[in-house]
Amino acid sequence: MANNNVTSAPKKKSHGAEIWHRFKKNKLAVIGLIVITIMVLAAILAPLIAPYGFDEQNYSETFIRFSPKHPLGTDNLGRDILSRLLIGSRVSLTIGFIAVGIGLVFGGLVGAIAGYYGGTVDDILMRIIDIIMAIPQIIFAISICSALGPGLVNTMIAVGIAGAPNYARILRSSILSVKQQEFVEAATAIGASDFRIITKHIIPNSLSGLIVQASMGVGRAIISAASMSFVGLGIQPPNPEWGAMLSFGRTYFRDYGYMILYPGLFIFIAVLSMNLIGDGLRDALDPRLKR
Amino acid sequence: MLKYIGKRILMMIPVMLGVVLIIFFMLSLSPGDPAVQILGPEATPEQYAELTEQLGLNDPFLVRYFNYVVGICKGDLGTSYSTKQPVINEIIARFPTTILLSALSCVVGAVIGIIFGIISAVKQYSFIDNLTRVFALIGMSVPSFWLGLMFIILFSVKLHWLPSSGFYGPKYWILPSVTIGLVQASNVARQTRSAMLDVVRQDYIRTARAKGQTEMKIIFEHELPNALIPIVTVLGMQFGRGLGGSIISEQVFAIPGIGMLMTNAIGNLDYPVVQGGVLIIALTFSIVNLVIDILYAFIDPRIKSLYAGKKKKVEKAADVKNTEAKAEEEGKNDGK
Repeated sequence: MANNNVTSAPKKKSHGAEIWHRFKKNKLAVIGLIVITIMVLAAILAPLIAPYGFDEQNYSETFIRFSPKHPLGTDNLGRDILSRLLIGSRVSLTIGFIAVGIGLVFGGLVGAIAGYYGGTVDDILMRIIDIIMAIPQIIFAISICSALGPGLVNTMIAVGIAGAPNYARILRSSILSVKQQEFVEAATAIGASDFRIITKHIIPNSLSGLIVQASMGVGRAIISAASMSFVGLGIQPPNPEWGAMLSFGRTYFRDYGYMILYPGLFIFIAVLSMNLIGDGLRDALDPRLKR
Repeated sequence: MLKYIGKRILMMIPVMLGVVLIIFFMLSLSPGDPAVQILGPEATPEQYAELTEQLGLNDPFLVRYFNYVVGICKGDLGTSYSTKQPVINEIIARFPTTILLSALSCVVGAVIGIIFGIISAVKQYSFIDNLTRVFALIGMSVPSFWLGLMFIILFSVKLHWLPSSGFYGPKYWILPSVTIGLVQASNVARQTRSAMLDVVRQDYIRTARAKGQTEMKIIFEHELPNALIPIVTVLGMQFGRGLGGSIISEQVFAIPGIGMLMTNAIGNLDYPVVQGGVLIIALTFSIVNLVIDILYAFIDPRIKSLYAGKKKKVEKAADVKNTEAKAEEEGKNDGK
């Protein structure tokens, strides 16, 4: 990372352009980016492009597997599955991104404080994180959610907070290692201020691990939220969140497997895209890790 | 070594106290009222008040916490609100099921993951390597409960090969453990591949090859042992994940384990059972982590020498510690 700044200078190429250039070379990552962009756009435009309302019931057209009017079929109440998936993507994707945002803010703050100050502060914060990490993440998220009650916002908070310790540890350890690098020493030696060292050297060089983890974290958050809806916490019916649709379709899945096939596929595609982007970012941000 | 293990076991006590504190705190924020849940809507206010007092729900938070911790020391995790049975009995009855499921899944994950990870690294960029990488990506992205449902449709409903629910014997174990195991295998394969790739370019491998060692011996005597630390790390984490994921997977396959117990308890606001469940899972997870740490010493003699009691050179110690920490960190980043 440090080298990039140096080598990129004579080429008059910004750091961002350099990263984008490397990211572009990873075909799978670009596909992931395109797919997730389409999904986000579809989610934004969902009310306009969805052929039916998400709670529009039609009792004369229940359990249709496929028809030109309902390409992905209808459920037990005759609701169009494609429309529900499109509207549901708004909820699922929002949870994914916002939950990671919450996790990053909390985790990043704790990790940064622990990393910068070190000593007793670091010890105390890390012990707390050890305690939280002794509880498997999904159980922790479910405990938070059962404390706060179900619902969209509470699910985001629960999934976000449960992921925070991860980010705290990653940021802390990269700050600790960056702090000891020669270029920080060099910056100190030429008389750079603490502020400049922190903003220009430590933060940019510590972030790459965090960015990669965050992009993959979105996928994990989508799965966590779906799991929680699946066991009845999280998003409540009739809201068409993907996990909630899976949970709902479970009653009928032995005979009408398509009711759970599509929501699961949507989750899978979204998560896969985020993982591909994460892989691409890892290679782009830190070429030394490239294998 | 024994001293180190003893120290680590002692260190688990404050962590568990912390776990209990966090869970206790969160459940005390919970909006539901257990007394209402137990008595139903038709009870008189006096009955509610009496039961609330009886359950100790009027006591201050710290008093309840203290009483609970004292109870734990006596092996008492409280009484279930809904079944009126001691929580510890309910947990003991279901614990073996959950552990068996987690262990079986982990074995499936380890065997498939390590085999494919090794082939993938040894034959980098080959067909199998590409296949493994695609498989790993898919495994990391697929929600395991959905995969479970799909397998049920395929293997139970359509093909009638395997039972879809329950946990009564080996036949019932296959579907759940393979489902969870496959997802875990993707992480293990990824980690194994990257750890092996680190090793295969080392000088001592070239030396071994130069002196005419067979490829099999090179892989299993030189490469794998040196790549084992991150692999074992990721295995430990996968076990923990399987344990936590039991709360979901036991729902899918209707397995009467701790996860099922906890999901029902959450629905019934049966706090003592939720607390007991989280505590037992956290405790098991911590013990697994401890075992992993001890395994490090057997895998890497340099780490063992650190704990042997002899004062080695500080420099070397620091060096090994660093590589260990780095391996662990990498394992965590990749494995999650």
